[in-house]
Amino acid sequence: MKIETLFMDSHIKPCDEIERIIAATGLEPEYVTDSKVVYEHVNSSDDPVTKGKQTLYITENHGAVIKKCPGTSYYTCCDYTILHTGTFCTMDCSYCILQAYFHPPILQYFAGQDKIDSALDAVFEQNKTFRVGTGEFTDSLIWEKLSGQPEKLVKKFAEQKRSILELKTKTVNIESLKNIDHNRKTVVAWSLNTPAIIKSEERNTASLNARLRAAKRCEQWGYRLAFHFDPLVIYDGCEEEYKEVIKSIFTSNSSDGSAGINPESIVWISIGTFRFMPQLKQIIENRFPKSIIPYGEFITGLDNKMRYFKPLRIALYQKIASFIREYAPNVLIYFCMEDEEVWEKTLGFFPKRLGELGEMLDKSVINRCGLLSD
Amino acid sequence: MSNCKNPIITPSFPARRAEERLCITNINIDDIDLSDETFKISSDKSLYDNDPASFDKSLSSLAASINSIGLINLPILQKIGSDDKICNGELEHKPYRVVSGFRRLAAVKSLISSKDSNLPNKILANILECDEKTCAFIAISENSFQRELNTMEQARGVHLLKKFISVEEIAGSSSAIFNMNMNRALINMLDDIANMPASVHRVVENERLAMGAALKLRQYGYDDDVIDSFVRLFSKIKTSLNKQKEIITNIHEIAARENISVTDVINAKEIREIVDNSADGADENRKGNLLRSILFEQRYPNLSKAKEQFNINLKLLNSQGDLKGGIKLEPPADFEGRDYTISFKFSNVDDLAQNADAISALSKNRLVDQIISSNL
Ligand code: SF4
Repeated sequence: MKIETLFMDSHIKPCDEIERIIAATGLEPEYVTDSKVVYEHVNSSDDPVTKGKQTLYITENHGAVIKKCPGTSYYTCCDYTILHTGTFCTMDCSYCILQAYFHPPILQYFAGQDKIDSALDAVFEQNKTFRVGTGEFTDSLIWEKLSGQPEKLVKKFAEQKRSILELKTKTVNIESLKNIDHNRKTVVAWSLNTPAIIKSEERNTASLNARLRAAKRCEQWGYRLAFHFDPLVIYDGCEEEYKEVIKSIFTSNSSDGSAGINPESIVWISIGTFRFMPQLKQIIENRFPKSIIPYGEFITGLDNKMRYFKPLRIALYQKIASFIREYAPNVLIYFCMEDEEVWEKTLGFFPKRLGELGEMLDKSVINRCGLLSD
Repeated sequence: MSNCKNPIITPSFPARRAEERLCITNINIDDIDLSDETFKISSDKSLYDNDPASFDKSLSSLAASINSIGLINLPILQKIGSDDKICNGELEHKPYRVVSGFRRLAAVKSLISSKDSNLPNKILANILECDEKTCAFIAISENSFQRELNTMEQARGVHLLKKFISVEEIAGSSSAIFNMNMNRALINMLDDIANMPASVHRVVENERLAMGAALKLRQYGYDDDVIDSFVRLFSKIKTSLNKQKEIITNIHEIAARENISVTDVINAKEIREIVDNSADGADENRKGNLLRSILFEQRYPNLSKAKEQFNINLKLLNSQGDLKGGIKLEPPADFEGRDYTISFKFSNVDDLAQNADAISALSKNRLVDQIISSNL
């Protein structure tokens, strides 16, 4: 989505990176001393979500740089750590939770690598494994072509041995990751979906084939990979289509001859069916009037989010897990926010103990990324 | 120049312009353009849609009252031009239009035109010489300070005012005009309703369709034909606002999911059989509930089946006498969690002991075990 208005926090010191971003927008920045001006600009629109995607605010992160991922007690959480480098996204997925999460949603780029570095130093000093990701409040690589931030982060993580960085994306913006000594401490992850869902629900994102080609290149550059089948959307024929997606990860691509991805390169695959805060439904209806994804058989989950009726979730999960197992029997599959019954009926076990799922994921990166264990 | 003989007041609210005048004048009733409903906000006739005879009766009662004691409140008319009946050389143009008192004037007109009437063709009225904006204010407040306006009247009032002032200004002066506080959101909603087809206005007015439900129809952006299908549906059933919204939502979502039109869902045989059932005993509340449950089954087929299966099992337990003494077994909400609930009442320790025994027996019951561990 094209950026139409550029606001710049007047406290930010200009630097090459910021100049590059400003130049790429082709806009004259409007300097503000108070972010209220930006909020009002976005909120005055009839469609603040679209406006928020068209409004870039270059500012500093005034809150916590490092955050714990907000899980709930009802569904098993993976103990993830969020590195807060920006908010919102230039791509436009109908189901994107960020549309309803921020009030108002604004595309923010957080300047100030020093602040990030010192927050990370504090993390690295702890003798603990951390899985740190930048892709919770934004896509990890939307600014990659303009900003050196992903590259700096990869290098920063390469210097230590206890934590990994996960860059989660639906783009193919990976060029700056080439030729870096990443020391296997960065996992590049793609959210995957069927071509039908990508076409109807994920505006401005890279195609499935392009994502997989980019993943293959990262694998060739020695990066570890991850895939997220999240959100899985239930529709007629979805199982067959997801099966094809899984097949295309692991088998060679007949159109460009590229080889499939080696399961050994994959640290984990997460699966999660579409779930949403109730207020997202109206946003989808207004902004994506042709989308039918909110009209599945949803019930109110224990965390008050809408979720597919449990037997439907379990049935799809069982299929997806078995498709993955066909190609990658040893790869770690996990659920983001599911309960004991789903785990048991789908994967045959449940990480019951508090922190157990996190430990499973830690173990996988310890093995595949050469981390020191605790 | 005014032909006003008896200027009594100059309206002080809202605009104060020298030329705004209100005076009582005796005028010819044929000089009033009764077809001009620019300032009409009251519901009157449409409230009697299903019962036109009652409307006629209420109008004759008013006429009878006027005949015996005269007009207590004079109608308010706006003077809209010269008394000449020719405008622009071709159109007949009556010099007065109604600001307030449509019903009173209709009653007087019926009195005058009745066979044995020897009443003169004249009526005493308050004549306003002011702009349309002021007339609009007066038209609304004349009604709102006498009685509570219904939703459609508020909607028409808002729609009328929006021609002259902004939503913010309406909100600011709402207590003075509507005799109630209105915020911007409410004003916009009311205007949305006013912009909907006349068929919707009628059902909202008759309280067949709640404002929130009408807005739901608008939110979905349906064309008039689809809206009319909903209007017909709601004319035949009775339900509360939330249930109306549920019905609209489920119909919309079934249609979207199945990639069929909304009217196809409404006109499906099983829906029509419920809605069009006019047999004795087919009361409108019951039809509403039946419609809701059939739509729920279509919208949530797997959840419905699971609920049905649970109820079958429950009946079996009951028929086997396993749920003694009013013990109730309830599944987790929507079968999402895993916690079942058992409840019972007791009034003494013997009751309590009996229930405890019954529950203990239930814990060994194979059907209960099946219910709890079932794959649904
Ligand atoms: S790519 Fe991710 S962050 Fe961006 S719009 Fe889609 S879901 Fe939201």
